[in-house]
Amino acid sequence: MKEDKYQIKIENVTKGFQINTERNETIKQTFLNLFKPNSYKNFKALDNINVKIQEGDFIGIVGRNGSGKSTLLKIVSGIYSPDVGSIDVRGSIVPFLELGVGFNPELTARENIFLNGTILGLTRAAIKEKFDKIVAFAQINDFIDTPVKNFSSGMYVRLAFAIAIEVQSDIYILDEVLAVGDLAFQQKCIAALNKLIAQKKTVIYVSHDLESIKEYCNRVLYMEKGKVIMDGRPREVVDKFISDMHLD
Amino acid sequence: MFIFLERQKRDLLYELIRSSFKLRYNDSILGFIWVILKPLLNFLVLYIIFSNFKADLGTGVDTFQIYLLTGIIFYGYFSESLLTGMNSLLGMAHIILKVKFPKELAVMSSQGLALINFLITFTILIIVSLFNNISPNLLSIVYLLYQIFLLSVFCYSLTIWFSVLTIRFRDLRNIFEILLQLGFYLSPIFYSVDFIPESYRGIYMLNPITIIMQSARTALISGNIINLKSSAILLLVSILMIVVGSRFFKKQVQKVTEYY
Repeated sequence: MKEDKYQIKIENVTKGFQINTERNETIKQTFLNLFKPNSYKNFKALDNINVKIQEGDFIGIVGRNGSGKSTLLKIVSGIYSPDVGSIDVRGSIVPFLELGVGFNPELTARENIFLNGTILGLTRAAIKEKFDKIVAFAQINDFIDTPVKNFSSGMYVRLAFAIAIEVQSDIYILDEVLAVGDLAFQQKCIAALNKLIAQKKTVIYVSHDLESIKEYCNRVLYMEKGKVIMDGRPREVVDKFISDMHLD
Repeated sequence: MFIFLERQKRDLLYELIRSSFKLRYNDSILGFIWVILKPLLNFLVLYIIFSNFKADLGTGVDTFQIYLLTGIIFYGYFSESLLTGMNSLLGMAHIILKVKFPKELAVMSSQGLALINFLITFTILIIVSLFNNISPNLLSIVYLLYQIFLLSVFCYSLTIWFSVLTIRFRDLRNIFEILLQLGFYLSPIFYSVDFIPESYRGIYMLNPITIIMQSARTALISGNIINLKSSAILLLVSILMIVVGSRFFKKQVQKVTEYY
């Protein structure tokens, strides 16, 4: 049998959350509710998702707020585990679900680089090596030992992006990263994205900026109510999504 | 636990401990002196109250200050380790919900920080000891260090369970705060085990903290090695709890993500 080629395989994945409920967060409630019928509703954030992603794919995901995009990314990143189904990822992942994970406003830029870098999977030796590059990319030369609470939001995001882009990985997950920063910084991000494409990295890209989706992606998933309702070429999927939005 | 970690995770653990150590005393004027000040003030209060009765408490009259200080800092380590340990996963929710993160490191970093704070106060104890008439020997000092190791292993064997359970049942934090307050009086901190009536002593000695505290203190003050057997049993039980606890942790920690 021919070997199945893929980088990420999502098979029959379903993920539910309990919402609008009195969660049994305390022991008392657990005992009190022991004999009560469960009052919670199960909200299906993802409903039987099947997707196979190939190496070098630049996949866009579009969909309304609450359609399950972020849940899907969190499952692929390994933050949540699915209720049903399986997920198989071949290779390492850098999730850019949020830039600057673990950043602490009281710590200096230098300390945050080491903290965030190790959280993203770098060793301290690797960070030392890339340190100057990160500082240069983020353009914060004069503020290395300033607590980041004194940074402008632009500087903050630049620093976070500069660290994340230094993490070598097979798969990159980008969630709305381009929505921030000034024009000059956005151009830097675009250059970084093009580099990922040139290196044939696998990228999953979620954005409300439909133009950038059309420009970079070779395939787009359209999600609605936890299901993938369309999977195809960027132009067709994005056009369908836009026309659906206008119908409302 | 620490030595089994691969390079990258060790670096991450180092950064987590370093940053949380810095942050804890960041904006306070006295900074990390608080690490020392807290047990010392605690010591002062208890010393003033109980030094009048020290002849009746069975603690040794001349070395009461060492006796008391050892008890306070050992119990302080236990209680800080447990409380910060059970909060460790909740406290790192902002990281755990954003990236795939080796969650046992959250627990380990809290334990590491508690150990560092303990070692700082421990050096104070050593300095104070130099000015007192005590007679430890090389072997008993090794045994004292072994008891510190045992206490650390014991703490970890509890936090690995309760860090996960606390996410599900937030009450555990309050319950433990009360239990730890009770435990302060149920452990031989300002009185001696001899103070406990003979008929209750069997039950009393089941308290692991009592075993550790008594062994460490006797080793430091009189240079005698006691409780060898019960310490060994405690170590084995703790290791077993860590082994089983690690499996429990691994299985459950992913499932509780949505309870943060």
